[in-house]
Amino acid sequence: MTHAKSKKSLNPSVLAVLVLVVIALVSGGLLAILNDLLFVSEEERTNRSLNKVYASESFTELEIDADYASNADYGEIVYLYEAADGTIIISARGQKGWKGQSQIVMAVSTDGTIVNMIVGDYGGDDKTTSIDADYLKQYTGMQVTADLKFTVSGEAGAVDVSSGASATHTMGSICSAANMAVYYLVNSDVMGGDAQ
Amino acid sequence: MKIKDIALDGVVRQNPVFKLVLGTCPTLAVTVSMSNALGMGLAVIFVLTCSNVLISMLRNIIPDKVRIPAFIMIIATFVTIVMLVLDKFMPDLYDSLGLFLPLIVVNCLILARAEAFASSNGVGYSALDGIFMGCGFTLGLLAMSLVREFLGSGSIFGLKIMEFSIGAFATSAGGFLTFGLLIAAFVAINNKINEKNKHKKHQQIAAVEQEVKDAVAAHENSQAEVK
Repeated sequence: MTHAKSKKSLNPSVLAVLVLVVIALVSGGLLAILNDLLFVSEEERTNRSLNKVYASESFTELEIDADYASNADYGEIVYLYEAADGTIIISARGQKGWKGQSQIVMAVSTDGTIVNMIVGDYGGDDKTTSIDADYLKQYTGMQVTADLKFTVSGEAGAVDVSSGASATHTMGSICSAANMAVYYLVNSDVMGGDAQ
Repeated sequence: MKIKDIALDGVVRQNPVFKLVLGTCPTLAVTVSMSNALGMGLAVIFVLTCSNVLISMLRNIIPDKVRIPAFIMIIATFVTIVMLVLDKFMPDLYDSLGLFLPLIVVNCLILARAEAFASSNGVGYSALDGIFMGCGFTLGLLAMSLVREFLGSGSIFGLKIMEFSIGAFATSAGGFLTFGLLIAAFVAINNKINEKNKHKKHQQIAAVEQEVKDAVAAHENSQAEVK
């Protein structure tokens, strides 16, 4: 009797669940360790964006002027840095977007010219191929002044940056973020009054 | 089973892109640039090889009832590893592959090889199958992206070759057009090679038959002489 009992195999359904649980636990454990080892901190991501948008030996973080840190029409400022040669690196998050708010990083030289702009985060939109380097070139070379405003809706007097295939909402959010950066640079003291 | 057969199946005879038409979603989406295609191809080689090896090792332990969820869990683990590594060391590639990186989990090619090959073959053969199928997939992506990047942007691996470009090749419609043309070219070349091989085989058979006939005739002659 005892011999017969010991020979009894495990219920197939229980065995199936057991195997799945073991695979899930081993996978989960392995990924948890790797995630700890390969974790990319927010600071590292910021450094990557800074180096991508403007080549400089060092960057100094500047304090954001709370009075102009956000705007109901455009969005909000994320961070502000100064490169070794005085170029300002500003990151802003625009309103709306396709799945979320897009974030841009803009480099503005000491004379107030936009020298480069990249997208730091598409806000969950995966149509990144639609918004390539050529699209972002529309923003560069512009002089940051109180009159500078970008538009994707054909607003009179504003710089039209609507050209690009699909990703309309994300382009709108990027445009809004660029306007937020310009708004901050024009109104705060960060450019030493040059932009105004 | 010969290693040569596995290699030829993976790269030519059962090419995942042009013959089996598996993994079409990333094939059309990431082949706008050659560097993206190479990155995606290498990621698939890694995931396919590792998942094939592990599934082959566990093939006698995983109950038949839950094999698909178990395979998916194993594949997803390796895809997550690829994502973590790329995000850490190759952030630009990670950003440009975007959604198509996690979508490797549901790439038909990987699940098909797990189900059709790794779950019924040894570890060594499964590893080779993963490597060669992955190479076939990568070569397919590179062929697609070579045409699309060269004609669509006038560049190869991001290096400008010519000023002239046909923008349509960089769009989805251009992707489908290139895909169709390359499949047609692949099938035509394959058929020609098969016909050549068939002709060669026929010639060999005919030669052997002739040899047999000659031998029989010589034997009959010698028999007649003896009589």
